[in-house]
Order: sequence, then C-alpha cells, then structure tokens
Amino acid sequence: MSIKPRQTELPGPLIRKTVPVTVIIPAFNEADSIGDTIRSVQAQTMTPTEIIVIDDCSTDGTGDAARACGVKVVRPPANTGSKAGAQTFALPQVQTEFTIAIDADTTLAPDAIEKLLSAFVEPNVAAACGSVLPRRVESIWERGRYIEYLFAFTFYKRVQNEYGAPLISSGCFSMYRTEILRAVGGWSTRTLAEDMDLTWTLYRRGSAVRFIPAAVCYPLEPHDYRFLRKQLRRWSHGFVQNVRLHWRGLLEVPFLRSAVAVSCWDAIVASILYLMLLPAAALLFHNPYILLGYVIDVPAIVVPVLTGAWPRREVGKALVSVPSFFVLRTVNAVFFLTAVWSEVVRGRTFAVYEKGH
Amino acid sequence: MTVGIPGAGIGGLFYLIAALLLPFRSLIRRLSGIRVSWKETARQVGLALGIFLGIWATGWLLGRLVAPTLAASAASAARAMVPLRDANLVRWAALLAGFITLGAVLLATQAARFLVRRKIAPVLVFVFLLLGLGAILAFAQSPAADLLKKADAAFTDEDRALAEKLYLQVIALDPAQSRAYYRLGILASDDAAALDWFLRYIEEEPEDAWGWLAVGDRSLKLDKTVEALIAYERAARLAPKADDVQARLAKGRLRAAPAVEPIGGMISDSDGNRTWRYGGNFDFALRGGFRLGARLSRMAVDDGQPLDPERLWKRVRVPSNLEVPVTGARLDEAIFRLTGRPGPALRLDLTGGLARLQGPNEKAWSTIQADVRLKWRGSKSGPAFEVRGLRIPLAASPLLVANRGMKNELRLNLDLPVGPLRFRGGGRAGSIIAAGEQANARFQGDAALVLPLGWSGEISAQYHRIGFARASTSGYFAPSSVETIEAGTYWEWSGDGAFGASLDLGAGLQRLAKQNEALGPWKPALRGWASLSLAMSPAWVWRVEAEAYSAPFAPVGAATSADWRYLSVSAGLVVRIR
Repeated sequence: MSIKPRQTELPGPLIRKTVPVTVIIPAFNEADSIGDTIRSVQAQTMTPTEIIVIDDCSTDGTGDAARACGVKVVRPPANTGSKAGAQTFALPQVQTEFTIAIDADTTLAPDAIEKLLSAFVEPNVAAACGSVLPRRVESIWERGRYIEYLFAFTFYKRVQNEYGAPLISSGCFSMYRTEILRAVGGWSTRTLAEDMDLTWTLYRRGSAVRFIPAAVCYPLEPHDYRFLRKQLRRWSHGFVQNVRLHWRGLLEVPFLRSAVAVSCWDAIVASILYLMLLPAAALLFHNPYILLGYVIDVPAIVVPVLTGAWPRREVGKALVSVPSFFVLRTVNAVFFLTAVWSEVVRGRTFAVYEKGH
Repeated sequence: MTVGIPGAGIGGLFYLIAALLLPFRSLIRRLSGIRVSWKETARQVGLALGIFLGIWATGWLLGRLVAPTLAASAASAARAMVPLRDANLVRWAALLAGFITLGAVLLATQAARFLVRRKIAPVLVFVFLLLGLGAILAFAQSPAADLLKKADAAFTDEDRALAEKLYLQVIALDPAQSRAYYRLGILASDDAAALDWFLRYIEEEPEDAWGWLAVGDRSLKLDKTVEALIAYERAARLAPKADDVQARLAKGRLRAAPAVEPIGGMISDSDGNRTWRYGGNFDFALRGGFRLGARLSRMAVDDGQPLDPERLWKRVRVPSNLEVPVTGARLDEAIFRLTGRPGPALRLDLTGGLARLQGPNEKAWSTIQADVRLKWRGSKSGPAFEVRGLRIPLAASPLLVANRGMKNELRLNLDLPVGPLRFRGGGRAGSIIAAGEQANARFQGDAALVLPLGWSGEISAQYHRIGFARASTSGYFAPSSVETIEAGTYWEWSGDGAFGASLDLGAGLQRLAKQNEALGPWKPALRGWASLSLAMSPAWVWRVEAEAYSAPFAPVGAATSADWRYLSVSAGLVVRIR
C-alpha cells in the first residue's frame, strides 16, 4: 500500500486528505481529556482512516465520552494493567499500513500526522516520533518538564536523529509501520517503559527510527509531586529494565550504544556526584559558593532552550521556567539512583504500572 | 523521557562533541551519495558552539566571583592564587578530565562489544593507533627541551631579551616546562607580570617552596598582603626548616596584620591660625591588595584673635558685651577608607565619612566628606592617568568653619613619558561654597617637565596657574590669578623596611592679581615637604611628616591671606597587631 494520501469527499471549504493510518488511544479513566485528544486528531490536515479508543475498563465514563466524539471504542474483558497491554489489545483491529499511538491526555498540532508521515518515505523506517511540549505549564514540575523537553527536543534528540538513532520513539505520540509492529509483537509489558522497549527492539531487528521535530504533540504533564513520583518511578525503573534487557543487542547499534552508555554513566555516577559530592565539598571547605557548581552548566541548558523557545515566541516563559528545571533535575537524579539501587543492587524489579500521565 | 541529569555529567560533552563532528559525518554521507541536511548540521554545530561559549563565559564569571573565596577555603592554594582575570572555573584540566571520562566510558562500551560479539569498531582501531603515535611522539625527544637549553644559556649570559623570547617559545611548544615560567617571572619587568608567571610556575610545581616564596614576594610588592601570606604559609609548610622561608613568613604576617596608628600634629600659619590635630587610624588587609580602614580624628583650630562678630558675618551671634579672648573651632572626622588595586594597572583610594564642625559660639553641624581617587598606570615607566573628586570642609581658620566653607573639586592628572623626560599636566575645577556668599569657582592648571634620576629621584621645571571667579570675605584668599614658575626636586630613600624617607622641595617665583587688579610683581615662593618612617621594631613604625610654604599664595587647603606662610607637622606610630 502506498503512503501517498488520497482525497476524500469531506464537505466544507477545507478539503482534507485521509491517510492509511489508524490512531489507537489507550485510556483508563481519562474522561476529562479524551475528548480534546480525539478532536485534535480529527482536526488534522491529514486525517487518519480510523481512530480506536481502548477503554481499559474505565470507571469514569471514558468510553462514553469517546463514543460521543464519533470514534470506535473497544473495551477489553478486564483491565490490561498497563498502557502497553491496552495498545497491544487493539493492534489486531488495525487494518491500515501505519499505526499511531497517542496517549489519552495528549493533543496534536494540526499538521502533526502529516509531518510524521513524511518520515516513512524511507522504506527502512519502522517508527517515527515528534517533538513533545507540555500543554499546561503552571506548576514547578510542569515548568521543569517544559524546559527538559525544550532542551532535549532542540538539542539531544536532533543530534541523535542526525546520527540515525533517536534514543526513544516517545510513547505519547509515535507512528509505526503496522506490519513491523505486529512482527515484534506490539508493545511489550515486560518493562515499565514500553516505548523504549519497542524502540530498542526495532533497532535490534535492523529497522530505523526517525525524529521529526516539526511534528508536535502536547501532553499533560504531572501537575503535582504525587503524579510526578509515579511517572519518574516508571521511567527510571523502565530505563534500567530496558538496559538490562537490551544491552547485548544495543552493542550492535552504532551511536545508540554510546548514547546509552553515556546515559547510564550520567544516571548513576553523575547523579552521585551531583547529589553528594557538591554538598560534601561545600561542607568540607565551609564554602557555600561551591554549590554554584549546580548552575555552572546553565548555558548548556539555556542556549538550546532559548533556541527552541524563540520561534515559538516563548522566551519569557522559558526564562521564568529555567529554575524549575534544576529542581526537577535533582529529583530525577534521586529517582534514577533509587531505581538502580532497587533493580541492580537489590535485584528487586518494580513491575507495577502506576498511571501518572 | 530523558534519562540521567541532562546538561550535567559527560552526556553534555558527548552531545557537544557529536554535534561538532556532524559536518564530517554529513560530508562522508554526502560523498557516499546519501542526502544530508546541511541546514540541520549547521544548526546543531551553531548550537554546540553557543553552548560551549556560554559555559566558558559562565565559568569565567563565576571564577571572578568566587575564586577568591575558594582560595580561603581550599587547603591547596595553587588554584586559588590564580589571578582573578584568569580564574575561569571551567579549566582545561576539567575539560580534559571530562574527555578522559567520556573516552573511558566509550572504550568500555567497545570492550563490552568485543567481549560479547568479538567485534570492535574500525574507528576505534584508528583512535588507538593515533593515541599510540601521540605517546611515541610525547616520549620522543621534544624540541622544547633543546630550546630550553638555549634559553637557559641566554639567561646565564644575562641576555634578557633573547632568554625571554626563547622561554616564551618553550612554553608555546610545551606548556608543562615549569622552569620557563619561573625564569620568565624573574625576567618580567613589572611585578604584576612577574606574579602571573610565578603563579603559572606553582600550578606546574605546587610542591616547590621557593616558587611559593616568589609568589609571596611579588604579591607583597603589589600590596596583596593576604595573598602573600597564603603563599608564604604554603612555602613554610613545604620547607619548615628553611630560615629565609620563616623570615619571609614573619614579614608576610606582619604586613597582613591589622594596624592601629595614633596620630598627632600641629599646623600653624602666618595669620596666627593654629591647629592641633589628634586621633587614630585603623586598617586591615583584604584580598586583592585592598586595605579597609577607619579614621577618627579631631582638629582644634584657633586664630588668636578677639571675636569679631562683623568679621564672622552674620552667622555668629555674640552679645556685644561679651569678651572672648580667642576664636576657636573644631572639626571631628569619622572616615572610612578603602585602598587597593582593582586591576594590575589600577589603584583606588576611596575615602568617605562624616565631618562634624563647630564654629565659635554656635551649634555643631555635620556634613558628608569624600575623596575618591582612581589612578591608572600601565607600567612603571609608562603613561599614567589619575582622576580625583573630593568634597571637604575648609577648616584652616575658625572663620572658615563659622562660615561653613566647603570645597568640591574635580582633578585630572596626566603623566607621559617624553623621551628621557616625563611630562606631567593636570587641571582642577572646583567650587567653594560658604554661607552668605555666592559659590566661588576655582580653577587650576599645572604643567611640569620632569627629568627622572634613576628610581629614587627627579628634578623638574613647573608652571602653575590658579584663579578664582570672585573675591571672598568668608575667610579664604581668592585672587583672580596666581602664576608660579618653579624648579622642583623629589627624592625617595628606603632601607628595606627599616627606614624610609621622602623629600619634595620647590623654589620659584610667584605673582598674583587680586580681584579687579593687575598682576603684581614676581615674588619668591618656597615650599617643602618631607616624610620619615623608622621601624622601631618589626611591628612598630614611627612616622613623621612636615610641610611648609612661604609664598604670596599657597595652593594648600585654603590660604587665608596674601603673603602666607604655613607649617604643618604630624606624627604617628603604626602598630601592627600580630
């Protein structure tokens, strides 16, 4: 099947194109946000052939809210226990060449699908992802995440893409070649970071993954520490689990093997230095100025962040949010160290999927 | 999802290098027929360069802010002694450590790959070969070693210019040649440059006590007493039994110690005004060659005249039947002073505080006084420039105090080398404000041609012109024009801290024109200033200073009348509290 879009006979002044894409949206108790997500998909410059919402036995009327938007809703006989489970449940129902997975709390820029589709011109591409920016930027955690995303999607991820190896095809908004997705068994529940697991599985089978900066999605990020904690536990344990699962295979993926090795070093050693060495040195030398070491890399953050914020006319918002990033970074470091301690040292795998955006 | 702590650690370095290598990767891909986005490549390279510059600038800024505080707390003072302008917290050594760590992590990845897959990246083989070649070259005879021998020979032969040139070439070839830094320090013509070289030397040789001694000596010459003490203490730890080290440590401690100085003095002039002055100074050393101090003093002035309400204008209300033998006034000062060198070529002298004055039979009043001096001098024999602004109360006589005379003045001075001579020029513009009078403008222009006689003396030919806008009845003499031509000489002697003496003498002719009158005849004008300091013990120094004028108009403080003679003597005892 060709990925070339065909015209439909949609009424109205705007003639949209339908593309051979099925959007699957796993949802558990997302009645408040599912409508926005569906409407943003329906308003795309290139509309998908089908939108399937997997109502994972919600108790808040998520299924009804989705049906009201005119999309197909499927419901597994029992709660699947994770996003990966819900997505894989829907995979057999996909009839199109491409599958898009979107989180139920994520909206898309109007041309996101059109932009993302362009990555599949290369036949070897199995997955593509876009830029992610928090939809709501109010609390300290959302501001920290906003800076983290601006930084990562302006610098790190673009460099990874130029070397042909984005570290991860983000779970909140990614497009896959359905045939390959089925061939690898869909989204696995063996780790808590199913998107990373899938991305690395694709690399190991020789497929390519692409990052399209212009395809933008807007998820809701944890507003408070309660949700943030769940998300960071999932991500940090998921990262450690994936490294343990895939490390041998990743050794054959150029650039990615180096990027993952460096990430492991930073997640462990740099976190220890960051959390312990600087305060210890400040105490040892009785000099609080040593703590300025925490901000010596401010330009490393601020330059990419402002480069990303400038075209969006969000320079002021970005500057105000920068301090929050340093708080979030410190919390991140604690969670990653805890995950390494638990998964590697104590050998206790964390397997409970906690929903937290 | 991001892992680790983005920005920190070696991840940042990894992505910076990856971005900077993108053009090469893009070029190889393009030559292989693969489509590449040069725009994206240029974007990422630009971003990486921006980040690198930003980090470097932040390191520099933080270095300027915190390096001095790190000096105080770090046990090893080597880093701390680095001059502020070089104190970038992002050091090449730190970057090198980052590169080595990153290299080790990437190497470990390849090692794991080799163990698991029995494969190794071809590029890594190339890197290993390159490193091996580098090691062979490093261990081979360095051209720097030959050059160093030639430089040492030139140094021994006292060919300073050639030795300096060769040592600079040595460190350009091999920055780790510590002896070159030390010798460059010895050869440097000014103390700031010498200090920089010795600091570089101790970075390479932090365990050499005599390197630290050299740093201490040069720091002391630049009045950086705190830094000198740190260096001497470090030298003493390294060579505790060396007598010269201990002597220098004692000297450093003394110079860095807080000092108190009781002062007393007397001023007398031909109009009968007599001033007694007494009080005390206190100061202590700060980092960077600064000293912070305070002065509390009292001046009691009387003019030996019966009180004349008319002469004191309307401010003095005295009952007509009251007989007062003399008129007296008082000036109390509480002054803070900061002196030091903000930069190698700059000298700052900042004085400010409160003056409380009390005229005859009237209530005391207070005013702010200040004296700000900033002097720039490129090198000992180079040009110099000084700007000075001051605001002081005039207290040469009770009449002036009673009339609340205040002087505000801006001074500019220039000192230029002119062949074997020096030209000194300057200008002053100011105003004198007194109660009941319109503010009076005062101007002064100075020019002098100076012949230096070695480092200790000079002779000069000078011309000065002074003028006031209008006459005054407030108690100071304000002619419309004063011209002085003068031959002057200045000498300085010192005996390694045991004593010091300075002498400044001038003799010439002066003529003046009172307001609305023509210039009068030339009359003799003499002036003299001398100071002497004697170390009674290492911690006790006695200082005495005297100044005298005999001239139709003397440009000191406020001359109270024409044909004025003036004598001032003051003495102090500096006690360093160890």
